[in-house]
Amino acid sequence: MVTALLQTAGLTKRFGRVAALSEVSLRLDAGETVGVIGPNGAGKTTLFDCILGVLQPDAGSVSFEGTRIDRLPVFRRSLLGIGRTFQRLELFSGMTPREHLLVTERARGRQGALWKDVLGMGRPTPREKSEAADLLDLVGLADVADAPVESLSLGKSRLVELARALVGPPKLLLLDEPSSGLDDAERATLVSVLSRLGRRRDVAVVVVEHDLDLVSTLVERLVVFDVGRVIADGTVEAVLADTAVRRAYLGVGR
Amino acid sequence: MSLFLSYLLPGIPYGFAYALMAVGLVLTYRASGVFNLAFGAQAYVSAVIFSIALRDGWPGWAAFVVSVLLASPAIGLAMERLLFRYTRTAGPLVKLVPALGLLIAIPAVTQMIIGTATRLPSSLVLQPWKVYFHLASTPVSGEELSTTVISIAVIAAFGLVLRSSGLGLRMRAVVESPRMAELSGVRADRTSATAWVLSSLLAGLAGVLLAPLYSTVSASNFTALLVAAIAAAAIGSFTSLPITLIGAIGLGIAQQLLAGYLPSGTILSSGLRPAFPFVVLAIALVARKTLRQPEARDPLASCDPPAVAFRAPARMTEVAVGSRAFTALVVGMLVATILVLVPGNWEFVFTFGIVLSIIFLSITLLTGMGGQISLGQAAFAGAGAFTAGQLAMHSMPVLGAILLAGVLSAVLGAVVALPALRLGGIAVGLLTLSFALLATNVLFLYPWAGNGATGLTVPRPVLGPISFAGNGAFFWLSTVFLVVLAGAVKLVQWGTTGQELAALRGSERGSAAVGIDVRRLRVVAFTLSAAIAGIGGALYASLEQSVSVNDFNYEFSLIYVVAVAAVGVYSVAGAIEAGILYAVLMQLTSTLPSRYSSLLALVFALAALTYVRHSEGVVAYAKAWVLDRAEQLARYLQAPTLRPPAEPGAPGAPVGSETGRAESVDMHAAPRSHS
Amino acid sequence: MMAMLAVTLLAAVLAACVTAPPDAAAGQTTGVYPKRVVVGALVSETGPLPALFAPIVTGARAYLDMVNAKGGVAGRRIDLATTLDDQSSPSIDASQARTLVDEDHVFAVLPVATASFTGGKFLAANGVPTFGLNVNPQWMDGPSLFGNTGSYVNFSPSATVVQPAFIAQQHHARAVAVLAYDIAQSEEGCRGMVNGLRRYHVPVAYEDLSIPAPASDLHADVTRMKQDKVDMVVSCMDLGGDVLLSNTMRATGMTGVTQLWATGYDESAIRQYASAMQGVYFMEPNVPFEVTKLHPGVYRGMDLFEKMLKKHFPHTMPSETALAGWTSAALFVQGLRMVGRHLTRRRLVHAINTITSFTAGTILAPVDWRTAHKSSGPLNCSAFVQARGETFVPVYGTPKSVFSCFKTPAPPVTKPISLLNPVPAGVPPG
Repeated sequence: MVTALLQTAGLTKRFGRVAALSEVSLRLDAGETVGVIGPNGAGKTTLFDCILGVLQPDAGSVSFEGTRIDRLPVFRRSLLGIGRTFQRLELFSGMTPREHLLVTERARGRQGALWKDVLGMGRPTPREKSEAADLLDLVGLADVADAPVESLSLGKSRLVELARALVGPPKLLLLDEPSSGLDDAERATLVSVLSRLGRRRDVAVVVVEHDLDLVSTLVERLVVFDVGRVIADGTVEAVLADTAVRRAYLGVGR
Repeated sequence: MSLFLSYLLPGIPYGFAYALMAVGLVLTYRASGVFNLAFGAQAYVSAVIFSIALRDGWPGWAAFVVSVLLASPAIGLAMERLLFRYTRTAGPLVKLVPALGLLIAIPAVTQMIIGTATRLPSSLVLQPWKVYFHLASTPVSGEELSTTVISIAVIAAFGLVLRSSGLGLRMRAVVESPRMAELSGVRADRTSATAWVLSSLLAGLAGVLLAPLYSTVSASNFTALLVAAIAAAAIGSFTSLPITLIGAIGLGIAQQLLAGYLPSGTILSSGLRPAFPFVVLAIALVARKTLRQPEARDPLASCDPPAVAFRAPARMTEVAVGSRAFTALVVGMLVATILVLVPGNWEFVFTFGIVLSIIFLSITLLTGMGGQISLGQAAFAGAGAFTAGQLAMHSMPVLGAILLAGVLSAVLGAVVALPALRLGGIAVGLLTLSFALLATNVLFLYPWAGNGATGLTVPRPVLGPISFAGNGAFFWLSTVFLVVLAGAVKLVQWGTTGQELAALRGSERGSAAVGIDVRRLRVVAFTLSAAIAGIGGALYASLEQSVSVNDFNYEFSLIYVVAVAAVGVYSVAGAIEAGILYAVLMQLTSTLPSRYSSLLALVFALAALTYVRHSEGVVAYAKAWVLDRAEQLARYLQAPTLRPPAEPGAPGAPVGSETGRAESVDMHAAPRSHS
Repeated sequence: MMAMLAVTLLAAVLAACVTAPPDAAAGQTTGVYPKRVVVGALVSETGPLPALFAPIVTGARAYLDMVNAKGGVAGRRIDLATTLDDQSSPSIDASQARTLVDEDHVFAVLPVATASFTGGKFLAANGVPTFGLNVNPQWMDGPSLFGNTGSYVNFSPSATVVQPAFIAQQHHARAVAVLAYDIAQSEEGCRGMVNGLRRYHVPVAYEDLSIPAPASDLHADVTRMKQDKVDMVVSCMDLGGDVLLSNTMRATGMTGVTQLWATGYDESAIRQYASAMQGVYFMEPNVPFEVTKLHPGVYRGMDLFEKMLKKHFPHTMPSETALAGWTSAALFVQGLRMVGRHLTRRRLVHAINTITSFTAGTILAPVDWRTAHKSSGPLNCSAFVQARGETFVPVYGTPKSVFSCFKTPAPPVTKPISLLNPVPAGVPPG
């Protein structure tokens, strides 16, 4: 059997008496695209935080390409090839989209030696610059590449985060509600970027999304969360037909 | 047992005064996210007004009404209305800088208007020093009795109001989430204003109650009170009022017990007592998880637009070149003037400004570039100064001593950075402030370090045949140091480390998520910054030739941050401008009557209040304004060349020139960002 | 990019050029003009203990106003043109001293009363005549520095001050406590007193010479003193600290303690804090102010001081520091008179250093300026006063001789020596 790209086993995280995750075991193979759905507070963002190391789980383990990564700090997991966007934006205010990508290029390439900076050798290379420009084109931000991110709309800001997460490129991409706040054009860009990624079999994508229509067109597999548990996991069609899912999630007002 | 009690009992009134202020701190912090350091100043103002009113023969109740019920709440209300209601969604630095500015400005203004209250203040109701009764054979004085009883009454009333009335409910709602509260019909603004007024009242009351326990009404005493209150609030995790209350009283008692049982007449016993609250704070910050990211987490916080950070706009080439040429010209003229004309003491003043610029540069690097708040830079500078002094005393060449001072400060910076790694925002500032307090109250007093108020002497350096003993030669030496260090900081800023620091300033989570080693980066920032401050401090010592702990008092750390933030914290030029301005203003104000001696601090503190609107600093804002105008002018002048050749003999050609100008505006509007 | 900075600098430079006095002509002694001599003051007007230092300017002004009203000295008025505040900071002190000399172009620095006197080195090196309150060791840095009671300050760990031992013997004290601030003058001053007490076998039961200034809480110290059954307290703190000490003792039930304070002998102080100051002893290097009321006409110098202070500064109470300003100015004026019209710094310093018995007109115990830069002289004299009611009362002396003098370092002499055949000092007949 091939080694899983990502494997969580018995992942549990409590906030006080509330279990945001309980006994979550998921397996993800290279190139797979998975949608994660569930009501608010079901533990989707907590899952991302535990995978990337923003939060330490109370129990359980996370493995990436067959190696345990539970003890690694966030940046090390990121350097292994995990890219991520945030539900609540975590942009570098004061920097432009281009600078976002360049600093990510430098960081991913472990280019932070201080002595190089002092000798004036810490500037981005032409290769890094062209990669950044390509990514900006890809997400349709070329025209605002040099404006500070504060001046961008919420939708464009999400695309900046997306582009930033794509630097590398990552082996695993975690997208936390990428479509919220996007206008139609931006949404179209998002869909085209994601479906292109879906066709490339080297990037696995996990996307947390409320928009079921969007998510069903993008992913092959759906995982449904409710109160910190996985209540369904399978192909899009199978999951949407599941009665438990309907009761927990779709039944409510949809 | 009775000895223990007689140490313990006097601590109780202090504890209650700490509690009053700490409760106020927690309330405003929860209601508006502002850590209001200015409460120390408000307590001071109330105490001054109270004692002056009594001196002038006012009845006690009238003095009380004016000082506690009117003055302090009025200041609090003004602060909320004019400043802090606009900072709710801003970053920690934007919230901190105006509060710091007020902590410095309010006593300065008070001193100018009212003068200093030299008379010892008397107690509110009872005769302060009379023994009223004995508790387990320990006498209880009127001061202790009145402070304790009044505090208990006020805190109880407060608790009752918060628990039962609608106001308390509204306040708690706003505390949880101002947006959510507004959605359910609570006027968050009004409620937060109420919180400010009530907490200011508590601060004023604390000031008036505690004033008789001091030998003079001086602002520094009330800063110490604030420090203790911060520690108490930290014990309560900036959240829980009952734990804060218990913590405050515990602190007051612990301080007295320490003073009683530590061996008397030693540096440890005299220094640890004032620094003790911050030892507690440091421990609380590092030990309590909830304090690590004390910025309030509002479930609806993501509804707010992200905080706007300053960014220098790209300029038209002509304007950029022009401004550089102009700068070069003026700096050249200036250097020539200094060389030829400046009389002895001004040479000294400019050298002082240059040296100060170096210390300020450390703030630019750490706070401006990396977004890390440090309220302890003067302590790093002091560490450098005293290292240089000690090394020079052991006959090391001074120039070498200055460089080694930078190395030792760097080590110290790394040591301070380690516990700060887990902390965010204001908590880092408080931790560094506690380091500064420990340094000035304990560390720098030892003969092997700073040798207390007597201090050390540091000679001017000699390099082979060149002596820098003269002020002129030393001016050039410091200029060389400044140019090298400023250049290095610029290179770091442009390089990967600088970009990563900028990312860290923007979002720590985001930085980690893209693979930046945030911990290493923060240690690097603190180490570099401390090294620069240490070299600056050592140069300062050599410039003055004698330094003591008073030159690196923790209050200087606060003034430094305020000065740099006011002038421009994001650029190297800002540090240099702040340094020179500070030195020049200090010289110009030095001949004023003593009543105006805090004018210098006041100028910077007032400028810091504009930080809410212009986080780039007033000077940077002014520069941008001038360059904007220059750019407009340049465009206007350029416009005719872009328009199609007009018919001969039609100089006005209104339509053509309109189009031309519009075109040129379009051409340059795209890359410009902040319009 | 740095344009604003440059403009600021330029403005400052221009300001500096404008403020340079136009009449500082070459070949002339700095600060000496045909019709006036310019002097400047250096005072800690702000900082932890401002009340201790600030009044010196008033005292000096009163004397100078009096001299100027009579036409000055040798045709020159004395112009106290600037007063600079060193904010009690050693580094600011040094730079303010430089400012006075290099920028304000003063002839002499008068009066000086500072928490630390790092500027002294510079003033001594440049031979600038300097007069003021000698509470800093820098007064010994050179022959041009003149402290109000001589320039000798013994800050060595073995310094011995005998007066507290004398009071302790008079009161048969069995356990003495000594309290001081962690500021050099305060701490060193009290260390000398501890040495003096030990030398005469007075038990020192409690000693805290590192109280942070200004005092904010003395409960722990007082509780320990109570434990040690202290019956006499010697304090080298400032008035605020002393009053707090006395009040704290009262609040903790410590009564009947003999107190000796280094500062606080001040009429306005006793009016405000009469209850805290009852019975407290003070030791003074000058005749007590009360002699003008108790024995009018005997100490004419003191009579004149009170009269002139009342005339020129009706709102200022006589205080030790103001008196130090007065006597400093008196020494300067006496020197000016000796030099006459041809005034240089060197000649003035030389002239003053030949004075053998300076008393500022029966105010001070005599100072021998031939030796007073390096030693305290053979006799150590103090006038003792005690606070009673709302006034001070001279004690341990006679109306004709209020000083009690002790041979240093011999045991206390009980027989006071007479001071009343004063050398003609520079005080014009009042």
